[in-house]
Amino acid sequence: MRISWLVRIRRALQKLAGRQDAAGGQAQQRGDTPAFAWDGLSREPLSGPLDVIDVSGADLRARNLLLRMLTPTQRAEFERRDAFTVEVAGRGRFAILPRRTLNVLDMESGECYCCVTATDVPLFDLMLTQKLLLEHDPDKFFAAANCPSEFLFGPSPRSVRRQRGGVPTRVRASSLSALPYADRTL
Amino acid sequence: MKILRVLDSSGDRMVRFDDGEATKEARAQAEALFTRMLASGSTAFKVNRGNGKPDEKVSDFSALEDETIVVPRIVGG
Repeated sequence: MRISWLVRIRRALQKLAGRQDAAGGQAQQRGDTPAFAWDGLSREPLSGPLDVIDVSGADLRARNLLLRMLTPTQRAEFERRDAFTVEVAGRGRFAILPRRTLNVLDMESGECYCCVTATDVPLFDLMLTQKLLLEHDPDKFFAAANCPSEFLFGPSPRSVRRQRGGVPTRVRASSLSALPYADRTL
Repeated sequence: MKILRVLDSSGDRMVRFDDGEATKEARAQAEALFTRMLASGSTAFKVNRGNGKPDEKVSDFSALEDETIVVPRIVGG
């Protein structure tokens, strides 16, 4: 079940970017074969919005620092997808995505957490901050983070299952720009 | 030589210091910065500790090791 909605997310991203065919062809030409298994996600490389990141100046410093702080597994994930996963004690695995809002994803429940730094920092510093807090001070992270119920990355949360008997069928206007619902709004 | 990195809009601000006399001023600067940042809600982590030791949260300046990263205060988005 978890695999199916993650695959839907990936397909929606590809549709949004309008590159599904082109990306598939390029990947085939390059002969890319992902070197790691990211639980629940397709082994195909992501294409579309996630791989378009402007890296310059402070961003470059931040990116280099982040790369140095990642474990070898996380670095492989990051180099492949510009995102990586962390294991949070007692809470499971979370993905940290390369964007500033709602970018911490609970891989089990599909819930998205939004937590940013109070001062402006490059995106990669934000991701590093989230990684360090999730791995070594998760209580502080979850005490501050917001988890809006309308941004669910899948049908698994119990409340949604109970109310709607499975997949959420109603999309709020505020969710129209949210990637999780992209496939339902096209 | 110890390194204190404070994440900011430039990427990070770095202060190098050790326990010797030559870097006494840098050490004082690092300690003041560390204390001020933690008082404002930042969190510090010992990183790159060697010998397979995991990163660790730290709140005592005297316990700093080779490299420390201070991350800004976080807020719900």
